[in-house]
Amino acid sequence: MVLLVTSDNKNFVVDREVADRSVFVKNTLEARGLSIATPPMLNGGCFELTSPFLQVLEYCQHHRGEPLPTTDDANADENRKRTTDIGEWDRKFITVDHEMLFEIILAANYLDIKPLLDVGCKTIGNMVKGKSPEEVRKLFDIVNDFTPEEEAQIKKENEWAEDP
Amino acid sequence: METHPERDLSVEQLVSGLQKVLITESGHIGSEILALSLEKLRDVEKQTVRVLSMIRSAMNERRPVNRLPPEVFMRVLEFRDNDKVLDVAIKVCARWRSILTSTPHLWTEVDFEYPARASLYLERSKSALVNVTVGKSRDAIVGPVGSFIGAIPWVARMKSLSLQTDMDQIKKIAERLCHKTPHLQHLTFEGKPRRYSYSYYSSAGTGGAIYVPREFLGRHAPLLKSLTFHSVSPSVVFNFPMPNLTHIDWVAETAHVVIEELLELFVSSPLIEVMTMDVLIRRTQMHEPLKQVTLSRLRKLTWADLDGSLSLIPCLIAPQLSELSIKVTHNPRNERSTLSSVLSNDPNRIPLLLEPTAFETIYKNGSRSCRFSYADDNAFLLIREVLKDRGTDSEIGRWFTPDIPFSFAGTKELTVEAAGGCPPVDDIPIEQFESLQKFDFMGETDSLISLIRNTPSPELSEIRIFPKEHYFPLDGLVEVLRQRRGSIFDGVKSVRIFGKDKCLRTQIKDLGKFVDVVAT
Repeated sequence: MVLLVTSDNKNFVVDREVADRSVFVKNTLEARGLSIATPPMLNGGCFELTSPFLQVLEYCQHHRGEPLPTTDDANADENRKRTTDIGEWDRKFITVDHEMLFEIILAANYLDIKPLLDVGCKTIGNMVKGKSPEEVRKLFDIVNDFTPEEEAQIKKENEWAEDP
Repeated sequence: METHPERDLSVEQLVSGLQKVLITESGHIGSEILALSLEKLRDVEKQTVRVLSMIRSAMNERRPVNRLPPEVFMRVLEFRDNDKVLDVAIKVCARWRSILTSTPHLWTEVDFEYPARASLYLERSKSALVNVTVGKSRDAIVGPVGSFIGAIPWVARMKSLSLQTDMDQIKKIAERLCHKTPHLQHLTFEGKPRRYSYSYYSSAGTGGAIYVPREFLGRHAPLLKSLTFHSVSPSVVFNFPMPNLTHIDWVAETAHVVIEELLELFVSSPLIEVMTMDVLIRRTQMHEPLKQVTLSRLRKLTWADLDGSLSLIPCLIAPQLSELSIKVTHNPRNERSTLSSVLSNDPNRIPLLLEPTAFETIYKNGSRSCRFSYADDNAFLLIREVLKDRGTDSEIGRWFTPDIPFSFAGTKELTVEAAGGCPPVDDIPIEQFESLQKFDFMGETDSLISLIRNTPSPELSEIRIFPKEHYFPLDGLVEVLRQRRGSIFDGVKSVRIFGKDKCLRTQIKDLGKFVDVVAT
């Protein structure tokens, strides 16, 4: 069993097999010979972990025992990028609001859980698919902040290379 | 007497002229002052717009999506079906544009069929190696040969070249492959027959031979790692060693592959890991024994039983082989096909080159899975007959590792690849399908229709279909899916059809979420 302590001082006791889904935790434990992983920090600030961490734990528990992706297999990486399919359980798992989706992705990135990171990235990719720039802005609540020079450049590029 | 008008001006006229000049000049001065103000105003306006952009950028930075670090954002874009997502993303906001334009590897899929777009991608990909596909689009501005000619100046930057067009165009392009491509790693020839005609020999249909200049393979492309020939084959096989070759995918009906040449290729390409040989292979020197070749890295082998092709298998020693797929077709020239010869140990019936001991060499070294696919009813029957000939399971186990699913019974996941016709499913005990949970089907629609119509699989929850578009229309399939819904397919949660058929999406509309079409 492994005790994981989040940055907001919540304790989670999980099986080693579950904890090892995170390469970060696995390496930390192996390097230090400890059974306690210290609170992950994000961008130098406190990562409000409890909520997304619970989700991440759920994911790790569900996928425990599955083979971990190898980092040196270039072909596997290529194949991974080719598919945008998401498994049924993962699809349901990742059906959360935007705020939580990005928190999970950030947590997966920080904790180095590549399969979960990929599920999150594919989900965003699928959300963007088939939308116009304006629709994408609306989707993610962002605004057009291009300078006039950038606008002019985009216009020029559109004239050069309008989508077929 | 010569007169000078300027000298003859009266004082009055001079004053009057000066006044006119002053008035005109004062007008100019006024305009300059005005212009100066406008310029300042425009400056202010520009600065305001700039400040507004900055404020908007600051607002955007606070949005959850922009909390993703650039490397994660790029990962999102790496999962894309096509580059239209990039074309959209780069127009969304300044941050996205900045990340995208500073990531050359995102822009490496260069389509020379749209020259202006290609220029843009080449510029954004900076010095990164590029992947070039010719013949991809139906509504291309430039034809396949023209687009390849457009790509020639960039051959030194090519990492992969894929030619996917009709035979005539491929031939014309192949003849032009005479440039040095120092970074080329992946080369694909995918011939599109004008119309499909069923072939007994190869699931790729009829094809043709193409002339690839002899210097190209091996010498001009020294780093070549993967080589694909679909429906076409090079008229001269391999003249130069390709020591870096790891993948060969060769699916074509052709009579130009000679066993001896192929063995030479294997000798000179010891790194081969994955190989598909779905071609006709001929032996020219019947009097000489074939030498054995060790492919120490070969882990996946797909081999077709085409007019003696299997006879090459005993020549290969592959200690790492973990996945073997044998495609069996009914060969009208031989009653029982060469598969039976390979599997049989009756010396009167086996050609000498099919020594069972050599065949065993391949399988005894940890082969974990084996899949048979079949091309027609006769081939399917043949597999069963041959396996029956081998006697008991334990006896068959001598030839294959025990977990090879030569029977479907108890199988939870089944992949069926059928190139033509349909298996005689009525003849299979239905218990064989009872445990089936996941079913992947690749091939021609009629076979699938027959399978679906006759296969009771209460546990079946997922079907994935990969139709081969040039075989048959999908109307019949839709009808069967419609009939089966709510009956034996009660447990099926999803049927996903992978294809390009836009009409299908409309046809299956009333099936709702039950059936989904995934564009490929």
